[in-house]
Amino acid sequence: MTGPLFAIVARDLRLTLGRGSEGLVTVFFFVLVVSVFALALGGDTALVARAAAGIIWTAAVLSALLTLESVYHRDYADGTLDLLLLSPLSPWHIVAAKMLSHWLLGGALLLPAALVAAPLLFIPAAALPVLLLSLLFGTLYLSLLGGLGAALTLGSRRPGVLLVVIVLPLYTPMLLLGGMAAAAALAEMPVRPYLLLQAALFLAALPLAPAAAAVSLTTNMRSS
Amino acid sequence: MIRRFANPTRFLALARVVMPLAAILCAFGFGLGLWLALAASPPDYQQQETVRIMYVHVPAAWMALFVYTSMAIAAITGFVWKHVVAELYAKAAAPVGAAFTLICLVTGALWGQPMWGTWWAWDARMTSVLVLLFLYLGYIALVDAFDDPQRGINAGAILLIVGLVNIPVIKFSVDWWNTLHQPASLTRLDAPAIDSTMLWPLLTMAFAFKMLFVALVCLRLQTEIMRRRLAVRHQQVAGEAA
Repeated sequence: MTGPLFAIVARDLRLTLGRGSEGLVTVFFFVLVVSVFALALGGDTALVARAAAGIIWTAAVLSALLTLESVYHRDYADGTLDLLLLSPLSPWHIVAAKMLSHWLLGGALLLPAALVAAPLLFIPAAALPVLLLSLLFGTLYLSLLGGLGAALTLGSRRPGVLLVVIVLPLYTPMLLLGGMAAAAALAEMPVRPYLLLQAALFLAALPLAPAAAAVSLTTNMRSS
Repeated sequence: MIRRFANPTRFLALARVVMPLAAILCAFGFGLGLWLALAASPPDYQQQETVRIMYVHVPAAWMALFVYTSMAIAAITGFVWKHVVAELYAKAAAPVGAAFTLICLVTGALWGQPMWGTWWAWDARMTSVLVLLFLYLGYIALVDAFDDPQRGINAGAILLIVGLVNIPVIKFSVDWWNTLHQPASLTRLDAPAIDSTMLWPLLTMAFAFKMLFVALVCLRLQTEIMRRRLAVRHQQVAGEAA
C-alpha cells in the first residue's frame, strides 16, 4: 500500500514546488508573523523574550492553516479527489497521504524557519532542541487535525474562514502543552512531561484523525 | 424505540404534547426556583448575596455540558441508524447549547469579579469551557456553510464526535489541575458539600433550565421539519409547473 501513498505525496510535492515560490512563502509568512509580533510589542527585548514561545506557536499555527487550502481544496476543485476516491486505495490511505504532504510542505519547513526566528525573539540556543522537538509534534498534530478540518469543509461556501474556526479549538491542548514546554525550557525546568504529553496527543491523533477525515470525505462525496 | 421516533410525523405528534408541557413546567420551575434562589435561600456566610449567582451559573454549566454530549450521541445515532430526527436534533440544539455556555461564562465573570477580584483567568476550567463555546460556534458555522443542508449535517456530526474529547477535560479539569475554580460540590462520592437550603433552589433551577431546553429544542425541531417539508413541496410544485 505504500507505493500509491508515496505517489500521492510525490505528486503534491511536485505540484507545489513546481509552482516555484509556494513552499518558500510558508517560511516567509512564518518569519513575517514573528517579526510583526515582535514589532507590535515595541521591540522591547525583555518583553519579546518572555513572549517568544507564544509568538512561535501562534505563527506556526497560522502558517500551517495557510497551506491547508492548497493541499486539499485545489484537488477537490479540479476533480482529482474524486478520481482518487474511485481508485482501489482506501480513503484512509488517501487522507493520510494528503496529511503527510501537508506536513512536508508546511510543518517540516517551519522547523528550519524556527531556527531563523529564534535569534529575532532572543531565544537562547540551549532551549532550541526542546523547542524544535515540541514544534515537531505540534506541526504533525496540526497537519492531522488540519486534514480533518479540510475534509469537513470541502465544498462549503467559505472553506478558508471555516477551517480556522473549526481547527483552532481542537488544536488548543497541543498549543497549551507546547507553550508550557517552551516556557519550562526557557526557565531551565524539566520539560520531559510536556514533550511526552505532546507525543501522546500526536500518537492518539495519528490513526483517529485520518479515520474521521476518511469518513467525512466519503459521505461528503456520496451526497454531492 | 430508537427507530420509532425516526419518523418525523410520529416525532411531531410527540412534540405537540411535550413542548407545551415542558413550557409550563419551565415557567413553574423558574417561578419557584427564582423565588427560592433570590428570596427564600440564605446568603452565604462568606460570599453573602453574591452566592445567588450560583443558581444561574451552575445549571447553565451543567446544561452546556449536557447539551454538547447529547448532540454528540445524537450524531452517533444519526450515523449508525440513519436516524433523521437525531440528525436534526444536533442542529436544533446547537444554538441553545451555545447560549447556555455563554450564560455560564458571563455569570462566571460577574461572580468572579467580586469573589476572586478578576473577571477572567486562564484557568483550566474556564479555558476548557471557552473552548466548548468555540466548538459550538464552529459546529453552527460548519452546518450552515453548505448549500445542501444534509452535507452540513454530515460534516457537523463528525466534528461533534471529535470534539467530544473536550467534555471529560472540562468535567475533571478542577480535579486534574490545581485551579482557581473550586472543585465539584455535588457529584462527590460522599454527601454533597452544599447545605440543603441551597441545594433545593439549585436543583429547582436546574430542572427549570432543563425544561426550557426541552421546550426550545422541540420548537426548533418542529420548525426545522416544517421547513424541510416546505422545501420539498416547493420542489414538487416547481417540478409540476415545468
